Amino acid sequence: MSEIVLRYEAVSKEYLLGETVINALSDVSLAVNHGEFSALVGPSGSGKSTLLHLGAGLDRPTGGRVHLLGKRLHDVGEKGMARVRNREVGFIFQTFNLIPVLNVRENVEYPSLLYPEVKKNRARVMELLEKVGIADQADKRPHMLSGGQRQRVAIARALINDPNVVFADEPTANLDHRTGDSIMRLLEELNRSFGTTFLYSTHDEKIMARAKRIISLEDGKIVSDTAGPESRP
Amino acid sequence: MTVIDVKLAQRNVFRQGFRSLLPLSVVLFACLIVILIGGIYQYLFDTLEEGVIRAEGQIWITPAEKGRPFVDRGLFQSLGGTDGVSILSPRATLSGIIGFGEKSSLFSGRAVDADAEAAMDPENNDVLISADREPKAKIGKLLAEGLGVAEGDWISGIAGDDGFSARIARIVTTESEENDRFFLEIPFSSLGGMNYDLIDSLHVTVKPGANPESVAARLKNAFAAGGHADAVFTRYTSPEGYVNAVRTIYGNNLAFILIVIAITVFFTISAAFTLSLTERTKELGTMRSFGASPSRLGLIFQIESCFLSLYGFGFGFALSLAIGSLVNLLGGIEMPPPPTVAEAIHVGFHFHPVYPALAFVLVFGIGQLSTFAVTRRLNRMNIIGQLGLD
Repeated sequence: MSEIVLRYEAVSKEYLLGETVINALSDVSLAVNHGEFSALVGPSGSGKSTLLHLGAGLDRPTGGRVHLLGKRLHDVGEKGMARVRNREVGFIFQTFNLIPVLNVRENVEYPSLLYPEVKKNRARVMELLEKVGIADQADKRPHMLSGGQRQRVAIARALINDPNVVFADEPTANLDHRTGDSIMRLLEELNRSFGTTFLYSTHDEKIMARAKRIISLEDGKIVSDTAGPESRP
Repeated sequence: MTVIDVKLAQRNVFRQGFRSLLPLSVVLFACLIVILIGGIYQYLFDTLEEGVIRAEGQIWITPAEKGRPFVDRGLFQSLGGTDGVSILSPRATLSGIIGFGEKSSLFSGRAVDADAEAAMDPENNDVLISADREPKAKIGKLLAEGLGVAEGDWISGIAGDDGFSARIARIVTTESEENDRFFLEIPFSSLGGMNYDLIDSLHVTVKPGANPESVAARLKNAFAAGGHADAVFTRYTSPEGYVNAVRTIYGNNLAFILIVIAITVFFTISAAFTLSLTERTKELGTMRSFGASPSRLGLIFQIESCFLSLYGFGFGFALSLAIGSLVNLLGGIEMPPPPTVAEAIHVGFHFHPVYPALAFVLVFGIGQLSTFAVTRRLNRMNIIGQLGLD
């Protein structure tokens, strides 16, 4: 039986927009197994990103619980949450979000330098850069890279501390189809070789079709949870 | 704090290109002003310490009742021989009529012991003595103009029962025009010698190293023995005291300048960091998304502030030395006169390490203080908001 790494238990998230309460997520329950390569799909405003943010510890739910590796994620204080974000999860943004004043190698290395107890391994940085195919760009600053290259750096950065789960919020949305396709192939390869769990959101049907599991959301609720085409017999 | 924090901070200082120069320039100018003005003040202090212009002794003795004789030859000699006394300078207030050619005028001035005055104040009184012991006088500018007297002319006059004549050695400007109109200073020798009955004040300069209080006590004993125990010892001045007084006045000016600088630096760095915080909101949110705590990000701002202080101080220090050297090369700059000095003085730049240290402490401290507001704002922001994902 597969080990559950991430579990959402009746999770709700409400936002206040002026005086109107927006239900971004309503009573969502979901379990993500170790090594899964899952896609969150749904129209804009369906709650995909919110679900990712709550799982990655970027935000707190207004109701329900999120468990990461069996521990309640939001019970720890801000410092504890920062440690979880650093060691247990990785996050890949749609807009890459690299630090402009650091070069590629430093961007990837930065999360591993935040806590003294995290093992510092320069070789691991270069290994990841090799893996994502931009080792030759290691000394360049982000503005000197293409969109695809930047996303590769962001992926290497998300993996530097060997996280249990990597969340990716529309990782190919800012890339052309060909580059997006190569990025997805890279994520699949990383999923296979490192056994890292990936949970990503997308609008793109081609990207969605690469997932082994597809979770559909609408109006903050899960409407379907099916195996992806590649997993079907 | 790790190397990467330092790298981040150091690169952030210049990340905004030309705009980065604003806070840097403020810190630079703050250091420049403190070091330069400090150096100019230092020049002034050093100059004063090297040659304090003193027109009075350190101990000033006057009779208990104005106009009453309070010293005679015996007492005067006894006072001069008192242990610790370096110079004993008697003065007598004079008034009378002065004449030159067909013109005459009232005057009000003093008779002095030329040798003692010159010893107390060599720069201003050297003209009163001469190799041939010829009586020489100093005359107020307006009085000289009124009489048509020039330096080198002989004047004559009457003061009380005595007639006198003297050669004008110097035309002087005193503390007021009113004084200039009547001022005349002549040596006792032009009155035919020291008239002890006329002496109305004694100015005593204490020997270097002697305690003025002890010397004053011995002088009081001498006065008591001479039958004038009621002589008034009213004033103690010293070169150190004078320099300290000037230091206090200019030090207050410097303190005011420091306060203005501190406020300017605080608001400029705060504004620069607040602007930077706004521009880097998403980046800071990203850093938090992979584990950086708000205090860690605050630390980066603090290190940035250190770099800003260091760079600003470095450039400011170098520039102040360069400008200071230039000021010296050009012969100094005109400054308002210090207390008791009538004319503007020219001062240069003397380097003293206390001012760079003061400048550094000021910009470093204020820089650190201004990052607290940024850190507080960071603590209040949530990651989703910072990332612009809300």
